[in-house]
Amino acid sequence: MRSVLTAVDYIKDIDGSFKVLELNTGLSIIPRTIEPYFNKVDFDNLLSQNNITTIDFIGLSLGFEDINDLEVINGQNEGMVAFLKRTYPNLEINIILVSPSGWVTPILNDSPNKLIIRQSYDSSALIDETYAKDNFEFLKLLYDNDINSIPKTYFNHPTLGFDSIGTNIRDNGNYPNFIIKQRYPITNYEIYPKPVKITTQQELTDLKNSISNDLILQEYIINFNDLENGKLKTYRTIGLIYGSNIDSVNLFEPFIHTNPCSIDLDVDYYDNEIQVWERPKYIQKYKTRHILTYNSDSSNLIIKSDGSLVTPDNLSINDSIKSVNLFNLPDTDDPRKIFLYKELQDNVFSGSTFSNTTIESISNISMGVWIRNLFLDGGLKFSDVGHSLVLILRDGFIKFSSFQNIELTDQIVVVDNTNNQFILKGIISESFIFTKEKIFTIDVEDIDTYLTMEESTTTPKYFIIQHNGAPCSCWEFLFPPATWTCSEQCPTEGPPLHPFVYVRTGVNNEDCWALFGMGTVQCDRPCCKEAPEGWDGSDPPIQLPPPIQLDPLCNHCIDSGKQ
Amino acid sequence: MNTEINKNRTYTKEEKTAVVKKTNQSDKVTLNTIFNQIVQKIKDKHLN
Repeated sequence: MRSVLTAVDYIKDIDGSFKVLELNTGLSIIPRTIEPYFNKVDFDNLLSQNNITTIDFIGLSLGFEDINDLEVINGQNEGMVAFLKRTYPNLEINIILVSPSGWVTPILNDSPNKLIIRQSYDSSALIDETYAKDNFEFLKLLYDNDINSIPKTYFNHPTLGFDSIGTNIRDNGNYPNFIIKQRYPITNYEIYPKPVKITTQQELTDLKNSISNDLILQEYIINFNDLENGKLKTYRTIGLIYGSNIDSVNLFEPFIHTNPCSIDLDVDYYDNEIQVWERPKYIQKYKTRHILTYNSDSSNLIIKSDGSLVTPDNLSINDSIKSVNLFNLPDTDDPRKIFLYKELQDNVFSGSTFSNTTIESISNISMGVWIRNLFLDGGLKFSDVGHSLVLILRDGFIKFSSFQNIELTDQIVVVDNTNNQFILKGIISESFIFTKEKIFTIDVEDIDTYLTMEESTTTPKYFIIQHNGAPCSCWEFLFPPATWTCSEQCPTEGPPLHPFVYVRTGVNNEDCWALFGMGTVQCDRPCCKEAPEGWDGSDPPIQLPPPIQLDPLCNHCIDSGKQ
Repeated sequence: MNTEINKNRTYTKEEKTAVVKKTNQSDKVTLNTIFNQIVQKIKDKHLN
């Protein structure tokens, strides 16, 4: 029996009624832990009534970053796969991971005692293609049954289009009162959804006239009595729609999902659109996700070989900049080798030499991005995009960390620019700012490091050491000891590196951990490696995924069933 | 209009992190009902 995980999103209006927003398949399972949300009673009934002995789970390595799941106890995350395997040990559970970028869902053989649960998108399926993909179809379906079941809506289409907005201008005070969405799903949220504020009938008329055939205009509902710690929220149900009779079960308890940031008393607009920095307050998905290769923001002051300080905007190919030959640092941009670089403090501080390197390439893009500010001992401040690599001291060793993964217990390696003396600085605090920023990819050769000055003063004295490589995006789990380490990029060949090897993509090991159960991850694609021959399947003392093998194209991973 | 009052607003990690949690019992019943009604509408349109 085939089934598909289906999510519907809602918002609660000021009269207490729920308005339906959209329907999704190919969905990310937002909660970090499944058990508190899972409707086991109804799912068990589904299994028993259909004599299910096997579950094929077609999972999707797609997720949402930065979630605080208030149902998680003691920080224990457990994704869908891990939960199913733990909860139903007597069922045969097969896992297939599908790349979100490919949208290619394998066709599995159905059988009487098998339940195929599809998390991924399937363009040949009715629910997916008609109602998840096409918001026009979904909204029209609901509108025709109950005009009040959705927010007031306008879109232009010869057969599906309707206008329930009319001349109504919702009064949200100074806050946005309409939102423009796209008809079909998107992955780049830089522009849409777009909240706007409309004041006059003429503005509303003009806005409607500007809505093209692939856009939807809806009233933007704000319910000030339904905030979560000042944050706007939506509601989500996840059900399992199954069988040729289109039956369903409420698989998850409904949950709320807030926007990242709380709303403020004032709203900044550019014309009638909210400014970029307001987007995390008013929409859940508000930026592009994959910016792995960008390693500098526009305000960084980089030291040239003549001692002058320049921002990336003022750097050109073949410019000579100051650099440092770090003790034992391999000459490579390979993320794995950068990650594995680990040296004693004394070796680095006494065995490194300052030199020059050359700008090999530099490019930029302008986009909404989170900038992290780190405030260090002595009043120093450094700010950068999350994926830039910075030299730190952690657990007694000097190594590189992506800026976003620097822990507050780390120490930052800084250098006095007047005498090139290395110093360690503790972190006092951090803050974040969301802004539209020109961010840069800087590649330097022959030495792969460049030096960035502090941003706390107009006469900076100290700099940090940055590597031009990208952060690790392919991880493997080693046991024992239970640690994550950076792996070679997909596809991997050759013998296993260790008796327990699991490789996943993700920008940090927490992403990989979540992917264990395909809960929430931020990955380019799943990547895995064949479980070693001879592993007896004995359980290590922590939850581990099943043996997994890599398909030839590394597009999806197949549970080898060797457990 | 072009305003920049909140342009330099900074956040802690917690302040910039979305929250998920289960709904209360009343909302749970209502939302599950709506979901089932939506599935029924799809069913009615395509099977009947």
